[in-house]
Amino acid sequence: MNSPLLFPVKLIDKGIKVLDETLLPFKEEYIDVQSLPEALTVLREMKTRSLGQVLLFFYSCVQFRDGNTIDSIADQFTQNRPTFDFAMLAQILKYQIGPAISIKDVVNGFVRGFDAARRRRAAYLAALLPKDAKILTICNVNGELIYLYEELIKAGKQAEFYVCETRPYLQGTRQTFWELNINNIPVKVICDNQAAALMRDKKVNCVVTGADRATTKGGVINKIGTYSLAVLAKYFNIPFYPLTQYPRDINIETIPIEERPQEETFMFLSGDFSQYDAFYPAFDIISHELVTQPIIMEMR
Amino acid sequence: MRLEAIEKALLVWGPVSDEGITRIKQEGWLVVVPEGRPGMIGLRHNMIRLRRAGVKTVYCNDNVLGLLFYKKKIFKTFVFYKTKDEQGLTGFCGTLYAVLLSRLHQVTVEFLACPKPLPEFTGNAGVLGGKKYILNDEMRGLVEEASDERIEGEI
Repeated sequence: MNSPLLFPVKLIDKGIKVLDETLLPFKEEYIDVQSLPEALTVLREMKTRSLGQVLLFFYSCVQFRDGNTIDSIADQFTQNRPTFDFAMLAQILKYQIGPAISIKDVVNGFVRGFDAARRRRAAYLAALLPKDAKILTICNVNGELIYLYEELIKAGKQAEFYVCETRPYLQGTRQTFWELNINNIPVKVICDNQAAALMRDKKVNCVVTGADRATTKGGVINKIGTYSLAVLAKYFNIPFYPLTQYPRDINIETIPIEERPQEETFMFLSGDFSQYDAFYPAFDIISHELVTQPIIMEMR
Repeated sequence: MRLEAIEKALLVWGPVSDEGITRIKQEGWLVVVPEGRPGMIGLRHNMIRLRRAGVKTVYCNDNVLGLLFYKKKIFKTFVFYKTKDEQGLTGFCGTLYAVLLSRLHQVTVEFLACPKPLPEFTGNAGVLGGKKYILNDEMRGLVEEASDERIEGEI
């Protein structure tokens, strides 16, 4: 089992290659990134996200440090994606770089460790899920649900996935559904608003999502729509497990929520909607009271 | 529009009727119009009729509802149902989502009848804007069909 989303950004000799996630599932194409401004454009235009933005930041620090410090690169990334904690990634890098270890070695070591850590996280979560796991999810967690499925099967459990389509970008349909389906993993896609009916009708028995930010208390910030799932899951007594990393002792309410251009609300629709007022906050805040247990990634 | 520009708003779910628009206009507030997947009720029906009636509207994707309630932007929800009886009512896809999220945030829900004749809104999660996003030839079994939703105890 495999997915190009497991590592959507790659370091090459001269530059960076970024999987254009906006073209999936119709095309698997990589964008050649040769400068920091190009990396920031890729980020701003949502060509990559989630793990991709982490890798893009790390690799930009390897390739495009002429005239930039790690902190200044982090600042520029934050300006383009304010909800994500690039300053924390900068700290991780700076802490490990030393006279005997280059930034490239640090980054490569991090990527290897990250993959092993998410496998361990998937195994840990698999042990918590029911024997017949019917998992509702939203957006995309870069192939980790494939790992989760493998771990569930290894543990002698059954699993099927329901994926919220995740408007407006349809990451649920175009990425999560697609990567599970091409690996022959049982999966169905739903409209985002079908989640309540699905829970009431007992078609799902757990919710698993990603998390862009996490607090030590257990709260998370994740793709818009996640809060609704968490509230409804609590009402229907269904466990809600966000996959988190690097929880920090912060007040979740103080994190700026990125609001995207209103035209993106109409993504993938044809027509002139310029006369309509619209809004698109891209993330939800989920307080710790709604989280059954954060499934924390532990790097070794 | 930015989220902070919305101070106090109404939410509509299901296709608005003429009587419903009159009722909404009485309230005199900004109306949040969700997309209404899969049939795009918000885009194809509600935005057009509400704007034509001079109602101030703002459009969003369905999954923004939770944040709107969390931020206390919505003070009343109007749900347009297909049928109603003594036990409850039946509405378009997502009606339970809108009603439960309202109720769980202590927001009043007012139920009104859909227009007659009932408009046609079909589709499923695998198709958007006429384009298929599931590449398999056979979509059946890969998409949870978007059916009407019955609401009883949640009212």
